[in-house]
Amino acid sequence: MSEIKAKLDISLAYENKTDSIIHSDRISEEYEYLSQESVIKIETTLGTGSNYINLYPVVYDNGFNETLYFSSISCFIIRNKSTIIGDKITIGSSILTTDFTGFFNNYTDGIHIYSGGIFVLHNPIDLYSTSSAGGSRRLKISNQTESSVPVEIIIMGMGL
Amino acid sequence: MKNLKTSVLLDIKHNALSSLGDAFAFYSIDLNKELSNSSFEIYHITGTTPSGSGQVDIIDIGQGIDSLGNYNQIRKVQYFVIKNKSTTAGQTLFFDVNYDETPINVLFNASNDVLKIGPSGLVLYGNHLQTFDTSLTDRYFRIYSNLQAIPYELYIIGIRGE
Repeated sequence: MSEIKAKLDISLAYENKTDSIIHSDRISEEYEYLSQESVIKIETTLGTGSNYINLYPVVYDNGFNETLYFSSISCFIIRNKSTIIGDKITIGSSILTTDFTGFFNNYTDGIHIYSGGIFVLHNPIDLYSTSSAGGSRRLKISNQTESSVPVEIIIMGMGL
Repeated sequence: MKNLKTSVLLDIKHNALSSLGDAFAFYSIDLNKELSNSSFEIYHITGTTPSGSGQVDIIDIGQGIDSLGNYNQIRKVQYFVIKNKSTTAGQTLFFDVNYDETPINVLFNASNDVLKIGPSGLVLYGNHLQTFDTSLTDRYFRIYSNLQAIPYELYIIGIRGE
């Protein structure tokens, strides 16, 4: 896992009708990852009810089905790729200590992502910790619809 | 806003994935195409959290004033971005919608749920197909910290009410 290069770039550009000036705001800084950091992408379909994405370990498809152990997480990107209005997934909302809740205040907190929606959380300094035993080692995503929901998940962090 | 383009660009490359192509993830979202007949607003503020115990910044997204001094009434929220501008480890920003017992309950699972954003971190939340509506009561974001003055930036992109 060497020579990893990744950046998160979020920008806005708009023309205001009152001054006709193009405004451009660069929201995120270009962020080059450390050589120890890893990034994986998971494309999957969530069935109805609770689904879990393992973080410690996670087996991902890079052509070799390698196993990675995220000791901490710097970024989550989660897309609800459904095109059906009403398809809703929920990140978090667990009472189990084995579930990752690093970006929430309480285990029971959760945030909804609706069809076509995207959720990006970047935390480059105080990385969210995971752990192997008894701690946060999987991400819970609930599918609150009666059909399967396609999702795309990108995880960045310190991998072992 | 006769023209508004919002892009979310994620350009991630990983040498171990070269067999799958260098373009690991790329998103570009053009709101003009998605909601071409709508009237957009960008609500942009910079602030600093109050450092007193129990104090919060309450952001009124339904009756707000934008960065140019324009009066805004965002009826439907499409995207929002909150950025923690602190660079000091341990300075965590807290975000929720629990105000006056009328939270924007389509966002969180429960009314008292709270999202944490670390220093130099950000959260971007967007909906393509489903916006969420504000109302006279459901129009508040709350941003606060744990007794620290933390600078932050907030963008809300939505559809303006008539």
